[in-house]
Amino acid sequence: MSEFELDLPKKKKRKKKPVKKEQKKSETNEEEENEFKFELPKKKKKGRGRGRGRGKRGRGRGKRGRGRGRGRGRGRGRGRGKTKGKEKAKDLNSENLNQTEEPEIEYKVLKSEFEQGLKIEENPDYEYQELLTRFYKTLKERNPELTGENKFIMKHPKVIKGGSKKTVIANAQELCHAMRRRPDHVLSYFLAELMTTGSIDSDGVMIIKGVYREKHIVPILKRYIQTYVACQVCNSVMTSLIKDNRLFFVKCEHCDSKTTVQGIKSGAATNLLRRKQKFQNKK
Amino acid sequence: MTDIKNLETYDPFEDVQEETETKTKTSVFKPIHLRVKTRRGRKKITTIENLSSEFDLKMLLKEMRKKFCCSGSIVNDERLGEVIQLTGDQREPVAEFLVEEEITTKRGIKIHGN
Repeated sequence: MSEFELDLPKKKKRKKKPVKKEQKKSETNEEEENEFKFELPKKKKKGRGRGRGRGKRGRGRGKRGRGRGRGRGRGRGRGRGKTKGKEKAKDLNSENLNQTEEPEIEYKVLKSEFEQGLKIEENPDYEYQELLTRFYKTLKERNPELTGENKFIMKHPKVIKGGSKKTVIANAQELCHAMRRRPDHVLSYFLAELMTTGSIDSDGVMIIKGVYREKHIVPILKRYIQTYVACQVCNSVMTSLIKDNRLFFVKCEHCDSKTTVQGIKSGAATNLLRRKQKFQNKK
Repeated sequence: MTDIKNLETYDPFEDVQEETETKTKTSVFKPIHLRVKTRRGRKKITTIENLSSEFDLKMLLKEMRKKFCCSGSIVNDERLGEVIQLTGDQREPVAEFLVEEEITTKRGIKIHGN
């Protein structure tokens, strides 16, 4: 019983009220707690029909037909403005347990045992998904490197207007250094995608013909990383470009894998420009 | 001699040769590239490359021009073969068009640019 009291937040709220009423309400809380055990599952059945409140999905699809676990159950027809007495408490009760898509009562049991530090072997009622989530939580806290999420945080490219018809990427050298790629290669990819001309200055600054902004260039950078920088096996960024027998390879230092990659090919329209000039010259 | 089965000439690679011929055609995966080029200020051109020669490009062009309300032409490129050009930024409508007409799947289209 003590466990349930800790979980319920409604008690905290009632502490704000004057002292006299607290004594009375402490008694009623226990009653209401007992009621809650029975009422909450009943309520589910009222709204949505039987057999949907619990089960594999638990409360995920129970009440509102939407995933409560994602915080969508909050604030929709509940708890807006003033709610009275039991309705308030029940909603808050459900909010606490919205963290996972599991039946409420089982979650309460888990929490208490987890806090007391019991071993898993002593409680064979754990389900596979519960254990998985617990495992990944502890992994993230203690060893964030070993998780499969490799968030490669890149700096934003500084895109500046270089005159009326040119754009300048001031960050180019830093970006290429972070990606471990030659600026020539990166430039040629940009130019093939944008179908324009450009060059690199002595300071490592890229100049591209045409007016572009950061929102145009960032998706191209992302695509470059996905194709030429990120390893397709382990999704790490510690890679290098190698050329072997006229083929480009992306070699990963994390997992020692080699994947082939196509070279950069420009489109047709650039050639058409030259054709126009030829035609004009002939005249 | 052909009556005696043991003396029949049997070429075990007959069937395989036909298969390899067809395989070489299909094994080379040529995706269709859609690119955009800016012409003057806001004006743009889309180019469609690598459409296989099985299709009648003129009919395709005609339908696209009517659907997207734009002008276009076919250009012969030295390196890339025949290329369709359309005025305006028509990458997404063209991609949907190609998928609807079952010319390629979503995988066979590669969109370049912004």
